[in-house]
Amino acid sequence: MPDPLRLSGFVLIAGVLILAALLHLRFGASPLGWHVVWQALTAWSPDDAAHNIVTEMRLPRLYSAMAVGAALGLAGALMQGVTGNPLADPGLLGVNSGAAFFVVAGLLVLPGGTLAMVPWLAFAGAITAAAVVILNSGSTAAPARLILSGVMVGALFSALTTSILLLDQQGLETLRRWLVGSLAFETSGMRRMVLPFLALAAGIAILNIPGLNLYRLGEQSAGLMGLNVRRFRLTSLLAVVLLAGSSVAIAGPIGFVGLVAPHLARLVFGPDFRLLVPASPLIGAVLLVLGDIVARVVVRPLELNTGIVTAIIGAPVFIFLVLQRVK
Amino acid sequence: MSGRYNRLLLGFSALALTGLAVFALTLGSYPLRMADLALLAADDGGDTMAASILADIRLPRILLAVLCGMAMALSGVVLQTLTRNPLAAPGLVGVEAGAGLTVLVAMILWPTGLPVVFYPLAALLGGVAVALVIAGLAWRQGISALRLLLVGVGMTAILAAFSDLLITYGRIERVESALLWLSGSLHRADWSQVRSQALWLLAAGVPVLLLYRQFNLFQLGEAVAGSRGLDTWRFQIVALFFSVMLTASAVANVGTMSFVGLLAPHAARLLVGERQGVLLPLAAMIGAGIVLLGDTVGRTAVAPLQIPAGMVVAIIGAPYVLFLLSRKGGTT
Amino acid sequence: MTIRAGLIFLFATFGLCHAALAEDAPTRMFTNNFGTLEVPVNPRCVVSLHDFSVTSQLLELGVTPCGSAGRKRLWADTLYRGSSGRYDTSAIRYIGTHQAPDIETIAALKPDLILGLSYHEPLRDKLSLVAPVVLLPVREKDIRSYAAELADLTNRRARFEELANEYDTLVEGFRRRVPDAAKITITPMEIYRDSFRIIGRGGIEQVIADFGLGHVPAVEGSSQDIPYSLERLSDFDSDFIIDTYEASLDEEAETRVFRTTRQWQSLFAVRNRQFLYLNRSRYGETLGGLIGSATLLFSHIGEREVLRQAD
Repeated sequence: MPDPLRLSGFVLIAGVLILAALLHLRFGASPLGWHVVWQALTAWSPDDAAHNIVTEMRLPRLYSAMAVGAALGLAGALMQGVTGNPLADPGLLGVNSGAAFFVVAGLLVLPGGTLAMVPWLAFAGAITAAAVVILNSGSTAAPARLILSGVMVGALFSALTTSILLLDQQGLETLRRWLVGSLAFETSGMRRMVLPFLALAAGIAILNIPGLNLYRLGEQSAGLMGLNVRRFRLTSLLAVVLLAGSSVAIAGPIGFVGLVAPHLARLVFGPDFRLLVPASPLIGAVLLVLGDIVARVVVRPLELNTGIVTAIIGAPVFIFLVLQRVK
Repeated sequence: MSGRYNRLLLGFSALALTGLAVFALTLGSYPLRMADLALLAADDGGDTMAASILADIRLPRILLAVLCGMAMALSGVVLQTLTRNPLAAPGLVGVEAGAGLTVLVAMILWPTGLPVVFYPLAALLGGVAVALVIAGLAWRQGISALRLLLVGVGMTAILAAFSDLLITYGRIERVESALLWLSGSLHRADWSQVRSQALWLLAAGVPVLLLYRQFNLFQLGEAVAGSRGLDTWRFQIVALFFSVMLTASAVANVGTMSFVGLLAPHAARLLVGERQGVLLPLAAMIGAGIVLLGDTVGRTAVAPLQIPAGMVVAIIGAPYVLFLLSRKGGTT
Repeated sequence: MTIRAGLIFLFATFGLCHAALAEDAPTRMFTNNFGTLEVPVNPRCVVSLHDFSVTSQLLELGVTPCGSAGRKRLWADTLYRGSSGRYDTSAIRYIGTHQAPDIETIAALKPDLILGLSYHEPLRDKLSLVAPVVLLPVREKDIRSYAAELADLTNRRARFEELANEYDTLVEGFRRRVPDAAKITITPMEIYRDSFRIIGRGGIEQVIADFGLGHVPAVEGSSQDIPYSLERLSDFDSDFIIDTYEASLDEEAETRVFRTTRQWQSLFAVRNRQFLYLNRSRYGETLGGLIGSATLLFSHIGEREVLRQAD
């Protein structure tokens, strides 16, 4: 049973998440006061333009940020657990360029391709790229191999994408906006579509908690203690791929949240996956909501791409971890 | 393998490279045949446009491809020897990204301020800054290759984020041409770029070739190298600087082509092993061949569309590196 | 070494050939804000480096360029934006994209005049080997000025006057019908999935200015290049809102959900059915574009009942 100290840890994170969510609703391109946010939530009036900004622009964006942040946080925790690699991050799997390539190639090859197919193509591409990288990185916990495979797959897919876009210049500007991705996209439909995948991945993660804890002792000891290593690895990586694919389909490239969230969770709760599996998605959600606030506030009234913000903040953390963990 | 084998190999690759260059000279959208080349040589008036296409469009482009390929390949060999890791290419450890970002800033934010001739200097500034930061961070009684690579990946991610920032919020016309340059394109190649690249190669590439004995010594390990009179500390600094100079000049002239610095040294090593006296010139020629081939395919395959050489090289190079990784595990 | 020998030899031959390069056709001097150079009096083969402005303007003036930049589609005909579908483009040779035209393809056409935009400056030296390169102030001046330069270069001044007159007649007609045009506000924009820009293509902005239509305060100081957050859409609400769509992709689907939101529905222009949704590539940045856009706005604003926010 979790002791009171740990329980208070969860309460603290939940508190931070609620606070971050309120700040997210309060700040943005249009200046709104606290009372407007409060009224929009409690006494919404359809004719008030400011209320509609809160309910139609910021609230859906908040949901997207929380869903993507949670998915990435959980994916990171699973990846780091299964690969034994402290540097694992779903954003480093080449998923973004895989998604972009499938979108561009799909619109070219499929007859009657329209933008409505983009999210599905992105999802398929993200899953393909992640699968290639994971298969290619082998079974050893060699951090460089996984990460370099991701870099290579990313380079390959983006070169192919650029070449196709040159050969078939279909609404170049329009596609470029889709390929960059953004949390501001209206994606309620997409969120509903990927919900079963997210639920499946969460289920796998919960069922694999004992396995994750055994696996920390090493592959062999885990096997000796009765863990079906093969099935455990396979299902966990499937969950990672589903989570990464879903988040790309919703928001495009968001890097480093999946790397940082599990490490922060470990700082608070220690290495026990019974606590890490629920804590990492919570922290991931907090991080992405905070990152999205920064993205919308620093160059007001313009908005930065949230993926750029997470990279600028997250990449130094990655370097710090490399310096600490890699001899 | 004897010295004779090596001499033959070098001679053969020089011949092959020349052959490839001459062949590339005859390819292009403007119809020119070998016979025309002969006619031009005879100088009997003939097609003046053909002469101008050859002398001012194709020739500088081919020469620039060759020179940049050499610079990138040499830079790769040096970095890999210093880190003793075959994966430590300038494109992977962030030097290319650093050089690229400074040129991008010059192109998008300050397009009139900096003459094109000075782009290599700007690139050098960015490249050196990133190289110093990465080397400093990864330093642990000598450069640890694994740390260097991974810090490089992190650094590249930061630099890529800043590039994205410039590309998303820059003026669209400047961004369009910057994007084309960024993905490795030679379509603007002219004689001034050829001269600039040749000068940089002379300043940094020739010294690297002449230092082959020191590279051989360094490979024996720092203890042995030190006992035989090599100041390893100073040697590493000087070699690293040459490597960054070579990469930066190539990036400034033709954009980023991450795979040349990885593929050319690797292919050369397969042929001659680690003997630097042969490895360095051979890698340079293979690098030149790769870029030349990539550019020639890119400009002729779907003409009049121009696929940037960097794209062609990446499409061939990335699967090869993935294959290497899956075979060797990539950590050594 | 072989390379260097070849290089020296080619340099030598080039020098000889260049001296031999003589023009038979009569030439004259042409000056604009990008410089002065010698151009043919009656150009025989004109190459355009930009489809949306230069190519479509040439066709409107009655000149079919022998080569043009455009958009390549893999399994379909090349698309010359603003011209395909309006003119017969089958005689135009495709020369590549407008950022990276293939110089050798251009040279093979043996043109005697090459027309580009200011951002083709870096290619000017190389292209000048093939034919004189005139850069046109498409982005620096208004449509009419650059079209006048183009008509002057291609000897089509009479056709230019015709088109310019047609446009002026439209403008006068609108001014007569709508004397208090300044009291009607209008905002041209492009709405994307995650942002919008204040921009009007195909001459819309010029027409709005020439018609003397008004705008809301937020438009002042706004920049074409900046994508704004959708949250700020209501700041730009006017009597009329113009958005454009790209027909080649089903771009309408991109913003369909957004257009069902209350935020969109409650805009004055949308509520009162004064929202215009126009095809972005129908007209180029040309005199024909000005005439077309002016006709559209004339009938949408001048020839119907208009509701105003101010009333």
